[in-house]
Amino acid sequence: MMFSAMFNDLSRWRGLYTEARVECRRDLRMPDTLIATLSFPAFFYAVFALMFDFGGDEFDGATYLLATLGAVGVIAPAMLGCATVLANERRSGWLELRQALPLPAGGWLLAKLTSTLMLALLALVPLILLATVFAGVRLPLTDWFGLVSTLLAGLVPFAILGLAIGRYGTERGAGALANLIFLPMIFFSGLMIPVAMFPEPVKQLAIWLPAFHLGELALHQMGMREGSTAGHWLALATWSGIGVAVALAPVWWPRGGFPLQRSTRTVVKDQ
Amino acid sequence: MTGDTLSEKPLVRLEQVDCRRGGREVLKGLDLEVHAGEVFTLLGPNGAGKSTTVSLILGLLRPARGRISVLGHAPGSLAARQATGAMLQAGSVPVGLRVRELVELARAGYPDPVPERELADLAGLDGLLGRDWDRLSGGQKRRVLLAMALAGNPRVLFLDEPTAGLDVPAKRELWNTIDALREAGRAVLLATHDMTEADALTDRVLLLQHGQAVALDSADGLRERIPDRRVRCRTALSPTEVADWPEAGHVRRHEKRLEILTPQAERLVARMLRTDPELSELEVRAASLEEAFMHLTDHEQNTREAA
Repeated sequence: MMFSAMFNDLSRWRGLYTEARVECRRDLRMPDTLIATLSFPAFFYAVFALMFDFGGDEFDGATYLLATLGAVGVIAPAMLGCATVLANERRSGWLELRQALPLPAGGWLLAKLTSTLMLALLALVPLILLATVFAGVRLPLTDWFGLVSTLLAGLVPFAILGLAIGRYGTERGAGALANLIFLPMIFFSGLMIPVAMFPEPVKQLAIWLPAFHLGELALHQMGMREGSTAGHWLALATWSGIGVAVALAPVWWPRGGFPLQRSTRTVVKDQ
Repeated sequence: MTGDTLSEKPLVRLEQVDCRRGGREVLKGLDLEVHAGEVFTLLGPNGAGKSTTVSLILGLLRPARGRISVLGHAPGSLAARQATGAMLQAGSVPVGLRVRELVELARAGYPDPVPERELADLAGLDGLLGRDWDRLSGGQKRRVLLAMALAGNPRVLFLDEPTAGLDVPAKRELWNTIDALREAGRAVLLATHDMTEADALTDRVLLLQHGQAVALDSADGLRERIPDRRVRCRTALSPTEVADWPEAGHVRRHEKRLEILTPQAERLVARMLRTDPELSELEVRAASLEEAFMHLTDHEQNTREAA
């Protein structure tokens, strides 16, 4: 009995480790994912911070954009990546086959989170290089660590929102919907242009968007914001809760009759 | 293995199982037992309930009523999953993975997995381990899925349409593997609508239609349930002429031969020989499993309609 429990524990850990490793390797082999992840925030940083000297003499644009585009860099793989991957794996039947294997229940989620963290970290590397080498951003080591860890911790609600989107619809549909939410969200959250530059009614919108709160947390780490960060963390936790509720709605819906779920679930060819 | 020699304790048991999907009843009062060392086939047309049955046993679906046990465990429990392997109909894998990674992933969950090299030999993965899944042919993908199903050295193997889309040599190769597994004492539950496959592999067949069991027997037993035999010959007689005879059932011309399905083969052959002394290449054989299937499902349909 004791040996059986030990074996199960061992195979559980092996399952978790293998799934996470395989997922990371797969992401590293996908050139389109890698290029998009690495180049998207770095490109905008190069254009706005280096070419156009964003901020000018009024404020430190290079540091500001390092924080906000860093947030963009971690949100993109979390939200877009999780949405398309879940939609693809759900529709292809892999989730069913995986469920029949004795792999640990949380292994899939852990693997996705690990690979998302890896991609997010990779997205920050070129950004940090551009900021330090070309824009002359200098920070104490603790601030660098604080920025990176805040951004990585802050990607969790976006990964959950991505999974909530991927729970419904096809791979293309989920990808398109995730982009449709992602692009306006990062713009209106002040991650490309500071919220202060928006007209008043648009400024009010930002506070309702999760990306705004991650941006504010990153700016706080850079010493560009003061006061408590609790409100921003609470906002991100609330958005995580909303994501979980949307993702699990079909499970909780009475008698399994959730409208979106019925039209988009995995097609079983033969009943 | 026949019904008489089945081992005492079934590895898989379903008792009075009902299942509803999308508000529709897809399985009604299903009973079945799968024993060690047998290939048990679920045979039926599309929509009969074969894949639903497999999904229920794997714990992917929950029954509305009835009991299911897999080696004495609840379906979908860790103990049940560690003792079984599945090759599913919709079992595609995520893009971007290599064969070795898929095998590694499947092996990772089992306490005592089959070594990679042995698994590759068993499923015929020679030279495929380093390849990308996306670049494999249909047959190669099936072999990888089989390797994943065999990764934990399962006592019960579930195969849902395992040879769909395979060419004849690949199909034969997979059949040989299934035969070897049966010889090794494993139980195989096969869901298929391929009659040749069912005929070639099966010890017992459960015929399903509209979610209900129509018949449970060996392939030979099912064939014997229909009185018709198939008479084929080369003859100058026309199909319409023979069709008018009371001894003849369904008549058709096939590849320059006349083919007649009849419950009175001896009388029909005697009359044909009298009428056409030039008759040649005469063959009389039992009805095929497909004919038995058609007969039994038609009979069931007529009974339902009459009711």
